[in-house]
Amino acid sequence: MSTERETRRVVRSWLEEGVTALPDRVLDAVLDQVPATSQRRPLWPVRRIAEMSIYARLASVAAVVIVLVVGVTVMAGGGVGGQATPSPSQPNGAAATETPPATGTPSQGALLPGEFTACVGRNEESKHGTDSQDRIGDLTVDRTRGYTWQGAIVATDPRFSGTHYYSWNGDSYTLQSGLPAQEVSAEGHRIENDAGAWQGSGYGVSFPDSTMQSALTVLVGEGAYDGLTALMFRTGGSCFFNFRGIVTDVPDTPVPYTGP
Amino acid sequence: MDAKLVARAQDGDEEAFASLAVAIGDQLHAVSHRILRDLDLAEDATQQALLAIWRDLPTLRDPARFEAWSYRLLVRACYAEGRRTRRWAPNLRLLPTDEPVAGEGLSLVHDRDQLERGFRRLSIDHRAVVVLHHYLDMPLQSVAETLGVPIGTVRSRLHYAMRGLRAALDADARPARQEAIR
Repeated sequence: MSTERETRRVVRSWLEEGVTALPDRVLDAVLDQVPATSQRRPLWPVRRIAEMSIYARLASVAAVVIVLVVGVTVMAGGGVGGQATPSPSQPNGAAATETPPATGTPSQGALLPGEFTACVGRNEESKHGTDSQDRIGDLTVDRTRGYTWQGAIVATDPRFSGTHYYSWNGDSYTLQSGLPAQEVSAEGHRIENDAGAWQGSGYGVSFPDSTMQSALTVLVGEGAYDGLTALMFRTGGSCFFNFRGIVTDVPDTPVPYTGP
Repeated sequence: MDAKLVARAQDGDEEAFASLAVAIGDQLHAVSHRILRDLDLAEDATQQALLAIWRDLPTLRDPARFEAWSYRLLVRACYAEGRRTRRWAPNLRLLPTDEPVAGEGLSLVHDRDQLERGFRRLSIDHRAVVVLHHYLDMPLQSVAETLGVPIGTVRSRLHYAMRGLRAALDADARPARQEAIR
């Protein structure tokens, strides 16, 4: 009878035999298909600033500087677009009096009252999450849980400037064939500053054809912002995160009428 | 693996990806061939894995984990190839062979045949653990992370697989040994 050790030795020796080189025609076939194969862009910010190229870092820093300059100009001069307009939901108190005119950045034009844009120039992972994989029928699911990032956020409305905390859970589905299927995610946002905080969550979904819809986040105010709500979503831009949103009263969710 | 090269490929740089594919292609192919035990299937699996790597590269969080992550996609491609062939393969039952074996010792050729038979009886799940651990010398914790399963599952699969291979060696040798004793 073979011993365990002997079996291991024989198996290791046997595994050493066999091909070790990928034929050129296979590699060529792959490289031929690459230009026609679009990359899957994730809904979440994968790469941290430390992993960015020097050019990307410079671009991020430049973006923050531009936002700061625009923010200071807006606060000091009454806004890019002219007369300041009050937010429809300004709170009573210090935070409210500090609220700048809700005017736009040069790239987005004038904002309506209550609107704001915000930029998270860089963020860093503050909590490492977990990755796991399981199966549902023929589908393979890669589950990501609990990763959290944080970074400075600068907004045209200082109530949304401070520290931005972002957490993300996601499920990526893969078909039996090995091709990617849908990706569903849930994300949490928290913005903190000396006066108070905003916190909210939302969902996102992406499809294999690269169609994706990221979350509209409903933020609920705390501290000086208690009683306020804001709606915020991600937009394109040069920051690590670009947000656009509005401080507003959110109507109650209606119940659809189903008959008497 | 050069993290900068990985980062460039993540940003859609096709030349950077080509360099990565050349660098890891041989090793991926060697692993897929050892898991699938079929050259054509291994080539298909490696090709699918490399394309999946290109497609999903932007979702890789840590470029330093590129190789381990690539093996995960490769094993997934092997699963897909394994399933594809199982659909077409007839339900064969392997019978013990009556090849003569000289003396008490197992010849290398005989070992090879028995291992091949024993290995083919294993599922892709079990084969992947054996190959990653015994061919790539991956620690069990790394195998667990690569496959995305708990380390207990990896230990259990490895134990089951090695027990199966040992049984294949012993059982297939037994008739010949008994014959030799007579």
